[in-house]
Amino acid sequence: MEWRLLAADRTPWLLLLIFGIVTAYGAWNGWQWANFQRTTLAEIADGDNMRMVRLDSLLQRRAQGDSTAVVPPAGALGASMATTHAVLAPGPLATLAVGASDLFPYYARVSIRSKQSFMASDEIENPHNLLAGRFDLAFVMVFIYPLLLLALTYNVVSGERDQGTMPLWMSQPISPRRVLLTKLAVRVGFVLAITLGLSIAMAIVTGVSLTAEGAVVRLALWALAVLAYGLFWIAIAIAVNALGRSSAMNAVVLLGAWLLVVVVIPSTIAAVVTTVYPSPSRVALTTALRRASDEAAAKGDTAVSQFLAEHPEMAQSGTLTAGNAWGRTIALQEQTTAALRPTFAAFDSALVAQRTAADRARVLSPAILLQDALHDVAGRGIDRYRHYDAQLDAYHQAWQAFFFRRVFADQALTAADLAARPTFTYVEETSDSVVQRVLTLLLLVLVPTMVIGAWGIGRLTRVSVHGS
Amino acid sequence: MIRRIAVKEMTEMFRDGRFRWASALLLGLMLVALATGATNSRALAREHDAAQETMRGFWVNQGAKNPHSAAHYGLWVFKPKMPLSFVDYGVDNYTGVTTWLEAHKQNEFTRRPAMDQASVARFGEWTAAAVLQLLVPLLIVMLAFPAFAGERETGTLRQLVALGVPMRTLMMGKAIGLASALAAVLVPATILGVGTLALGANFGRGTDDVLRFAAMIGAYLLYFTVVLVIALAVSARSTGVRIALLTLLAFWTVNSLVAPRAVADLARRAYPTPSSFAFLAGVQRDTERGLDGHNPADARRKAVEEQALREYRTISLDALPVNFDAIAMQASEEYANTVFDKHFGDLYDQYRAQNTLTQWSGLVSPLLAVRSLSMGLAGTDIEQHRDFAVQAELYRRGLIKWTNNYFRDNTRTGEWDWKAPPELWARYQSFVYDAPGMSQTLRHQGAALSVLAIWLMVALGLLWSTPAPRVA
Amino acid sequence: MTTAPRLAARALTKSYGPATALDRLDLEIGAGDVYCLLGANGAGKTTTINLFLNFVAPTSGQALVCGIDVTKDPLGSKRHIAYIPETVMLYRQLTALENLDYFAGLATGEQFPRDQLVQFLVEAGLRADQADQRVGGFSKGMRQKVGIAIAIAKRADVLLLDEPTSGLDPKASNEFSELIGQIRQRGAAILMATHDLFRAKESGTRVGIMKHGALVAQMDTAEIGHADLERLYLAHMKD
Repeated sequence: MEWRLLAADRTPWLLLLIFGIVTAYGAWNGWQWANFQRTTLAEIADGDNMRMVRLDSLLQRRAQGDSTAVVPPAGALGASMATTHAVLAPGPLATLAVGASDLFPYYARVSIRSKQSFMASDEIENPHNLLAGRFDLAFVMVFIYPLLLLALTYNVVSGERDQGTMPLWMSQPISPRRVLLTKLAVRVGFVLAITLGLSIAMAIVTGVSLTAEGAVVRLALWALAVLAYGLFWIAIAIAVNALGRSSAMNAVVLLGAWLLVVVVIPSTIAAVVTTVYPSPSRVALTTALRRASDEAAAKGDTAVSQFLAEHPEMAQSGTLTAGNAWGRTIALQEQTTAALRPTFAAFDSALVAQRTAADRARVLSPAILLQDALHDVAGRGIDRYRHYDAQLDAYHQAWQAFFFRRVFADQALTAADLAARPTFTYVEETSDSVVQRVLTLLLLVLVPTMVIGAWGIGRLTRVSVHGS
Repeated sequence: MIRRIAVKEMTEMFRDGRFRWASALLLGLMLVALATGATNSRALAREHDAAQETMRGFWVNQGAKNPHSAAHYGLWVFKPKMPLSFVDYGVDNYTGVTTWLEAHKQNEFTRRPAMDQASVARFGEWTAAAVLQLLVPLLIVMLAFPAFAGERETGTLRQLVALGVPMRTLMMGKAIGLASALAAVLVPATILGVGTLALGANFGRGTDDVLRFAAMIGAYLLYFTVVLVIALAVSARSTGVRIALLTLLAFWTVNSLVAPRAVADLARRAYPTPSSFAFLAGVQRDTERGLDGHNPADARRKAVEEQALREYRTISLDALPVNFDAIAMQASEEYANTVFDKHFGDLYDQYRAQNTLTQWSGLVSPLLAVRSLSMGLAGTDIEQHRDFAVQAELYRRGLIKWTNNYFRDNTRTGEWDWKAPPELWARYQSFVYDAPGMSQTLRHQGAALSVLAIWLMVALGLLWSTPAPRVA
Repeated sequence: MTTAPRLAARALTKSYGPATALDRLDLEIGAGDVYCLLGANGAGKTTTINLFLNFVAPTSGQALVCGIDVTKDPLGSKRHIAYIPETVMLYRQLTALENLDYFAGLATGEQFPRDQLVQFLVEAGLRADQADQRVGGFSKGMRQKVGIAIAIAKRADVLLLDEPTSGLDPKASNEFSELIGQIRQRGAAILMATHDLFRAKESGTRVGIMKHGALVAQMDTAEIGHADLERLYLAHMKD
């Protein structure tokens, strides 16, 4: 019966049409961005391959005694010529969200230099667009999908009262709660089914391969997250309907709640957290870096000998052969890095403190929880970047160790060495850790959902014909 | 008659508990936003100035050094915070704040503050601009939606029309009445803003900042007028309060939350920018086509050599009274500079094209136009960033040229071990950023200004053409 | 006194598509007349009033107020009219005096002194101490009195009353009739749509019975008794 009423009304269909268009636009944007990243990574791989082939042939010619083949010192090779990019390819569900991926680098040309030097360049993007954020599927789910739900549920009780049909069925021998919940279930089931269907359809249309490692699990998590968030908004709608106000009042209250959850609370949290736990200053870091490298340079030979003494595993001889400029550069660089270790540690712990505080505070807004969950599922969240960053660090260390030994021994690189160089392959996180993180977030969405929902359903029995 | 209507609207508004509550809340939020904005801006301004000072100290005290080594050592410069940035952070958190000025290359700006913020920061920042752009329009919508639709529903509109009150008069009266009620919120907010500005640590070029602040107030007032008239027009044309409210809330949502993102993606598609990898590869490719100052085998170096020999009327480099290495390096710099101008220029032009498209999209969402103006006037948009980047780059070029010329004039070719005296470095003037005046800023806001002018015209048209209400 | 009747309808017709709400109504109401329109729901009473107010445009014919065609000069015609609907709607946030001040001010463009405004309210039957109360808590009858006060302040030549007594208790209804009598004596023309045959006989000078958009009978109340009026009315209502 309720279904026939709903189907006869033009408004829900119009809303759904708009929602469909918006969803498609979001998916298209995500698809474009993932494609852009994949194209870039392909260009990068081409460039890397070409350079390696050229370097390899140079080393081969040298090995065959070709005197015109001048091989640069190992340091120069390790610093630039032999370096390739360590890349973080978009994950299996990458098209569903842009997330933090427009801000964080997804490729780095790791060298024997310090991490600050090769991580210096940011991905190019108009800062105005960064500020606005992306119109991706995650945005549609966090911001627009609640509006669709609320538009179809705000007057589930008050609409009957406004129409005057309420006294008619209130006088029948049926429980008002049951009638209202049935009405609600029909409307909500309809929206949820459409939203989940659209999400999955968009995922498949934009080329998400279900056979990819973890794709099905992640897609299921996505659906679960959308469902949990939907239930949260429905609980709010029930509670507001149960207050027994007019339709217009319900609309205002629900919109206020929406504004609070998706705009006011998140930006307040951001403001409070950054004030209480200020972002560590990159400006100060830049100054400290220069100061430390100046100090190491001023110490000169002393710093070099100190480094060699402290690292016998790299330089067995304990001294540098005369004219080993790269050895000297590296020794000074590593002394600088060592001197800065406490500064970097303080920087990182300030960052961690801020993120921990923000993670705790996000409990206050299911919108933040959902955004983080969806970004995580799509492999666009901060955790995947940290995972990548840790692997990058390990790779950087391996790369340095590989070249440092040859630099300090003043050995030229051979073709065999080149073939044996460390390479980087990103190892994807296990699905388990993603599942665990996302389920924790969803649990935090479900707690307020149950409390508000239970209160609302309990109160629905007291719904009156005339309102209060 | 208009005055009477306006006074009645105001009286009703002030007696409404919801209005008092909402405006107190808004004023409170504004106060917090201004206070945190001022504190943050001031702290950042101090930090950047101090860092700039420290870096200059490093440069000045680098000791006896070969001028080219000094050029390689280079200098870091930091973008100063603009005095009005406390009102609108703009893109400040999304642009790098510092760049390294060194020999041979123009570096990008790095250290985007946004990278060090928690993901929640992407939901938006709590600035005075956010309150003005998002919450004030919401308050206007909440105040104005029942203006006509409500009176129609309660029947008072019927009575007013029966009294022979012309619709246009009623519209004007209501607009003025609601605007006056809003002034109760906006005037204290403005006074607070002026106060904060005057107390600002970096209140630099007095008159220009005052002009910018005044222009900003003007832009926001224009925006509020547009929103108010749209709200009244919708209310006058709606059949009921519910429709008026829902229509206006839909407008608000699209205007504030949906359009900015949708347009950002559209602009990216219309005027694509390269990846960082492709950009740097392009710069490198074009630079390599030029002259390599350090490579004597380079054919193009020969041409510079012949020119130098002609100029100094000698036949060999050994007989040259100056250092040819320095001449070659400067020639290489100058070639590279044209490459940087082209690539960085193209990139920033692409940003500008994107932003112009965004400004024109203000025809759908006036927020986009006022946001662009607000950032521009606050000195926190990409044009201001570009201006700073260009000045920093020109300073770099001057500095490198100065080291090259000094090297050229004081040594002979091949004297790479020669060191300049330690007191030399202080002789090159320090970098001082000369921020553009307001007129220069407004040159890039043409579209935004046109859009607001068009909206105002539409709004006035709507006011004028208010149809007789359907009362029966 | 003008020679033109205060209210005149000339072959006034209003159709909504094929349905005719008002069919060629001819009517004249002069100064000091209280004309009561009787009829079932949908007979065309309210349509007639809405046409005089120019709330709806006539399909054909003319509605004249003091000789002014309401479609040609809507604002001019409204200068003479006071309209009192079934429920007089007022601004809940404002006091009775402020409401009167607002509406009367808009109607006349004059600023009345406070004493005079209170005087109007008292003339309309409110107590002086009620003037400064917000109308949010006013009953239907009290609101109607504010409506009358507006009409008095406006010195309206024509009163259009739409079901003014429905929902009033007998005492309030009686007070209302007395007020109407007073206003009539000042020379106003009054058109009142009503269901209340008793009230029509009491306060009306003439009655007209409408059916399906047409005026089917009219008479002077002085010429007919209560019982006769009721019999006549019911006779017309039969089909």
